[in-house]
Amino acid sequence: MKASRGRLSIGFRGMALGAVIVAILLAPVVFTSSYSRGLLVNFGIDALLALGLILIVGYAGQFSLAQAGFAAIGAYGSAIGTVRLGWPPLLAMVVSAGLAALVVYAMGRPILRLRGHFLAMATLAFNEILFLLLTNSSELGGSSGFGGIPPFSLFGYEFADLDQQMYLILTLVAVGLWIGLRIRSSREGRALRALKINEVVAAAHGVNPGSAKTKAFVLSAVFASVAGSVYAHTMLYVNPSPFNVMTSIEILVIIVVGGTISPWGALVGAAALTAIREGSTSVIPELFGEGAVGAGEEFVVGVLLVLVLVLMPGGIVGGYRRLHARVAAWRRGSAGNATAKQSAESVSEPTPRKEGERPGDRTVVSAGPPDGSPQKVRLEVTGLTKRFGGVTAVDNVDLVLHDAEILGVIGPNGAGKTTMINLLSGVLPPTSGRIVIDGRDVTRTPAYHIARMGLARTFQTPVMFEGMTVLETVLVGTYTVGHTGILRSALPTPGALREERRMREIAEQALERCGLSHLRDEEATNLSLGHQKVLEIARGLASRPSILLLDEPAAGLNRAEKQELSQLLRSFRSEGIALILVEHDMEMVMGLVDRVHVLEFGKTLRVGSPAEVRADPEVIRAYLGVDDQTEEVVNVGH
Amino acid sequence: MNFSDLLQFVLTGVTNGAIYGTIGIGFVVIHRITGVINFAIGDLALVGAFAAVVLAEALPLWLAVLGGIAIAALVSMASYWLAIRPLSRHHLLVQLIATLGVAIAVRSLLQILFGSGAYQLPPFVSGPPLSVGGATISRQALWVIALSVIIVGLLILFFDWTLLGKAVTACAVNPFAARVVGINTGLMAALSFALAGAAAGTVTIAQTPMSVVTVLGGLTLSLKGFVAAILGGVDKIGLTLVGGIIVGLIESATAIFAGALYATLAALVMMLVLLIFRPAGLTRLRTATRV
Repeated sequence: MKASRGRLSIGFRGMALGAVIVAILLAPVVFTSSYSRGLLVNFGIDALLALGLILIVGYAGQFSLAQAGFAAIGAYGSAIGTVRLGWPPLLAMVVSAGLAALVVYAMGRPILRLRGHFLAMATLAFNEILFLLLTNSSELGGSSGFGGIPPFSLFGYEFADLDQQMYLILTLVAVGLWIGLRIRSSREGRALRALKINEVVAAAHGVNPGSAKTKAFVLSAVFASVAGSVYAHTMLYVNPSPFNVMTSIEILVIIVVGGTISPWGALVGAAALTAIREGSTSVIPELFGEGAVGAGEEFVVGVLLVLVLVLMPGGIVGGYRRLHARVAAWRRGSAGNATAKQSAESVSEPTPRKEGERPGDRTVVSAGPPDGSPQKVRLEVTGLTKRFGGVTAVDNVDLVLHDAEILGVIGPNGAGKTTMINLLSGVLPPTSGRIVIDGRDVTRTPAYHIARMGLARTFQTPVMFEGMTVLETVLVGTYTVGHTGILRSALPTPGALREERRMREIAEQALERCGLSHLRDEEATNLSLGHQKVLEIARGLASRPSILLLDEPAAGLNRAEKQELSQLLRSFRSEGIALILVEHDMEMVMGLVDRVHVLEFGKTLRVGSPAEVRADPEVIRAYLGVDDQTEEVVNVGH
Repeated sequence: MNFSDLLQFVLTGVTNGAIYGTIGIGFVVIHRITGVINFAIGDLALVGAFAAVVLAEALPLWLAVLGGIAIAALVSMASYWLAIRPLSRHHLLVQLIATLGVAIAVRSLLQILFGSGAYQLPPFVSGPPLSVGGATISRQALWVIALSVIIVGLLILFFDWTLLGKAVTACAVNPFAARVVGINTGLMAALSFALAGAAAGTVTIAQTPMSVVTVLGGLTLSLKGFVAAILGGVDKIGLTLVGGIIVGLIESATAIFAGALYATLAALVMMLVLLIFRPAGLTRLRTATRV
């Protein structure tokens, strides 16, 4: 039933895309006057620019205010290429887009490491610089620009009249929409959406934040450049004024009004803004006189921007989705008690199991990590130290982890257990010491690199990616399994499709093993804390790790759930995964792990088998805070 | 170039730089308290200038100037309550977009009210320009420079020496703890917007008698002020004024060597270069923090 729902949503998407194609074909029938066709062309250019902007704003969570500037690169590039250099339009378009990509790469790489508002300011400045240069350039006709641009042509076919241009632009919009939708549910798209919510967690799953954001930025500029090229071939003339900062801001308004989470928002927003412009040109002259048209329109745009942000943060598409979800919930509620009861149960019980199934059966659907022999050293740490100012959180710790072993790391609060996990996973750089994985020195290697070497981890407080379903959340975990880049994911090549299928299989297996399959289509943030804890483990498992670091996975679980968790961890061990378990529940740790590493104030207190550690007087003193006088009481208690 | 030309270039640069620096301080004050970069600051400053122009029709000049400053502060505060405060639970970047909306709305409203013509105020004190070592500086320019220095002094005094100033700073350091000890963080944020509006409004009003004021100057003013703010690490008030003066001097130099057309361009290119190579500006702050 769940699978059929998934297929249904793909069917819906296909239908929606089909509807767009039909709409394009019907457009000349509906839009008969040349004025309305001109409007449609403007709508198409706006939509194309907005589709590009959604990639960087909606997916990567960064603001670019230079979409008009990148369009200027396309428009002037195409104009110079075709008029001055005599190139065919397609070549000019491609070269301009490449140039825009290059500029954006050079600018994005360093600035995307900074806080978000710096990119907004930098792009704003870039747009203004380009605008001033074009306005001041006598070579390019200054503020009046230059003309003589031929219509766009493709292998001898010329898009000369308005009808043909309309088809060309609407086709590009459909292609842009397709690319946007494909990327959203692809490996790189999920990575971007994950790092928009939390960069640290995304990096711990193998995503390189700077590089991922730069790719999205480059692609968004390519969209804008192509839109600019088409614009030049439609107007047959270029001048700087359409490419000023205000246009960039208007494109931002389009996606805020339409909604940034989905490429559909670009189309909806572009349509809304076209309608608003038309409305204001007919209403404003009556209110303020002819002279106020431009300013009046801007005023409406500015106020609208604030109003939509305050009243409808998801834009039109977000509002529609919320309504849709509410209607669906209402329908489910009225469908009867059976489903309601089922969902209530699922909330209280993290790992429900089918009747008659035994824990051991689960290893049959193994995610297949590399075979490890118990003797092989997977992770080796020497002299690891981390200081925060004057505080030494981890102090000269040595540690060895073998394949098919569970190492329990215990210690009182503040002993440095979580810092240790952060150091091992590359989230924090150590002050000194050496970390070796598979014989390779990975000290000070960034987290995304360590993740790609087969180390997965969970976080003490579960981090869910808002707006993602349970299945998508686990798919983020499969990032290191795949290779498909952002461009290839837009084209349904057999290789890309095969890889996506494989990642889904792995993700579903991970969910199955962790007992979360029945929740796969739920929004991850709606899950109970217990479920989220297990979902974190599933997300880590989906990367097919050889090392898995678990930071207090049992906190907040009840007794039965803890037993299920222990079973799950045992099955991981039997497959050869090397595990580190940071946990406060002594009963669970002692019953599960092969060796125990006791930390106190960042220092190693004792390493040994559970029995040895339990008997060690030093450990008892540190852990129970027992001094000489109360020691006997404890002994009596035992 | 002889000495008097050089001096003239320095005087012009410093005067313009004082304006950019004070606009930059507007960014810094708001950013320090709320984390928001207020794109509307240049346009809010223009509100003050236009208010002073209108008030000067009916009131004595000094009253019109004070009224203009008060109106800039009030409109800035109002923009916080109407557009930014309702979004305080959202991502900072969402609030940033909202300030863009405020900037557009304010600018277009000014344009509807005043058209795109140039407006001017009479100088604060009449008299011929002063002559310094062969170069000249108008009395009004001295007002601009003096006011920017006074603003820096007052703000530093306020933040470091008054209880209210310390309460505002507490909100910046740790909003949660500030709320716990009973500081109204919303009110403090509104206060920071008012202070920024007043500071930016003051210098913009003071420069109106020297040149002219048009409704479209706000964005350029914001961008140049932001370059000054970057140089001040978007945190240090004194360094931001120094940063503004550096921007002003670079602009003057560009105007001399490449022509006035390229002066604005130089400031913008400087912003890109700083963001790419030296985002901490003149400070040693770490700016590569994650959002």
